[in-house]
Amino acid sequence: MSRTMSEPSSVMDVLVELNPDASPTEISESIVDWLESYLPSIARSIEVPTISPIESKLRALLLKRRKKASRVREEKYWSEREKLVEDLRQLQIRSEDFVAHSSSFNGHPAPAHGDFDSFMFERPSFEEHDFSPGKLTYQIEAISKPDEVEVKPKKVPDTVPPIKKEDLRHRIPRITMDKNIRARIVADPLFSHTLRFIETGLRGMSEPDVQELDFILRTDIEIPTWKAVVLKVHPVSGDFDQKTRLWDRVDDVVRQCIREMMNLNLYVNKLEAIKEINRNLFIEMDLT
Amino acid sequence: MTNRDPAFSAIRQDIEAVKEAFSKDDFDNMNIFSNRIMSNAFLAGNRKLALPGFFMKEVALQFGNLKRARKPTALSTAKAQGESFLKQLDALTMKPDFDEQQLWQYFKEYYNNIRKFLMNDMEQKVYAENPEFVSLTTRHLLEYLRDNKEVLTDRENLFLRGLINELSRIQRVHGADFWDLYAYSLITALERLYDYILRLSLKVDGSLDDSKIRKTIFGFADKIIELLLSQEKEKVTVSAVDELLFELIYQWRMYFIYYMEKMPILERKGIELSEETREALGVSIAKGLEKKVRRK
Repeated sequence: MSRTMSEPSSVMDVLVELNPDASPTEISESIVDWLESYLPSIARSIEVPTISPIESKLRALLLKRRKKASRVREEKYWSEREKLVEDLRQLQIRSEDFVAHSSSFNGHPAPAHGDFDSFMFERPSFEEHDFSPGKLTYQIEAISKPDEVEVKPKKVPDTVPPIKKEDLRHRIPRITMDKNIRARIVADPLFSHTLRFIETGLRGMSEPDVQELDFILRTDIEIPTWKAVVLKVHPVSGDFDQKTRLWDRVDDVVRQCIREMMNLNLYVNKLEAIKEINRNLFIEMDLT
Repeated sequence: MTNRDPAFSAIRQDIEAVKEAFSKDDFDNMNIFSNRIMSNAFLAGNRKLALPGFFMKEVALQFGNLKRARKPTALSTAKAQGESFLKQLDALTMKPDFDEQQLWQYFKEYYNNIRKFLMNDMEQKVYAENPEFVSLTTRHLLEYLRDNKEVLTDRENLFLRGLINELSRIQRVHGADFWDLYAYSLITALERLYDYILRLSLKVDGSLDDSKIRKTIFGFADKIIELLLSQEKEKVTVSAVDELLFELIYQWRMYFIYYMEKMPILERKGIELSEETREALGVSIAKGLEKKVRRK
């Protein structure tokens, strides 16, 4: 069977043929260089499916009725798939940001040192290369379908379509904090740590229905010493029932973040204080 | 220089621009405005004013990385810490003769708060403060630089970047005291200058004339090592650190005026991929990824 140029091994063969004197290292380095610069465009061309939380919950309930071996296999597959979907979505969002902020990006590698009056950062964390193709490849290899089903490949566009900004706008909600919250973050390390856990969890939701999340510090006129942290959720749209379900989901995420924090050894002596923060944290939904 | 000095008021405006960029999450421009503070400080003849620019650049780079992080990060919570530091820095530098020691103090406090946001999930769970280990490893890394300076004459080396990588990794997970931050800052400034010197030292045939590296970079490396290793770390003064730091920043900014970004670059002797190959690889990867995430 003849191979097409779209197969990586065939591409390698062609490269070897065209560059007979090149060592395997030189060939692989040139591919890696190119991949690093081109990955944002690739990411933007991929059609990433959305994961419905309701569908996930239903699937989890159905899986409980399966035999253990089959259940474990299926759970592993779905968990890895959801992680890959999430990673790809994050990559798309960051690719969009990368293009928006880069004055020189046009498929060529960015200059190594944009340390000057340019728009590139010089030091994008040496330990973690965000667009590393290696990491992505590892994830792809790690995922194997439990039941290999041949799926008819969907046509991939020849040209890379630009991602629409409006598609991305609501994938990560805008998070704001009023000045009293910001002051408390600086003054109270435990509060800062707690909010860090909560914010990370909220940003990881990739909840398309949330437009904005506002953290507000509220006091009671009659009891000035009582201070409550209110997380106000502004949904994109939806009817009352949808908003109520969203309210529950945000609440679940927030409380789960706090529970996870309390399970860490680091905070074993501060459980009461964390519980106090949790008790005084209220989630409100903008139902208008 | 007085508060009414035109140069001082220009630098104050640069600081305002940095704050504005930070508030808008525009960390790329924040980086640029920070560089501008350092350049203006030297052009105006007040080296000391480069220091806020140096620290603001660090903040811009840290937040730029947070914003671009692979996994979701608590950017808004972290920004409260960054904002607090910028306010302190802003208030302190209202006068040209600000207290440098105080500025380092603010930076140290800021760094030890923000580093927790720079750690990943696993690091947050397991690492605790360990000042003795940080000092010990910083000392070893400085000794490593002292004993292996020759590596800096290898055209492919990334020695200073490697040192910065180790220093920042250790400080990020275990915390940093003044002396550790002095080492990190000086090596960082040295690396920025070295980047220019290395490129200038490359000859047309690809070989390296290492005389500039030996004269300039080895000289600065020796001064850094002498300052930080020849006395007890508590005895190292801010004024001595700043004097060396200002000289490194000055040279780096002057090289920027000479050469900006149009310099001979170290190009890897590689293979050029044809348009067809590039397109084929892109389509292949996109297809593979789509197949993996498609519903069953």
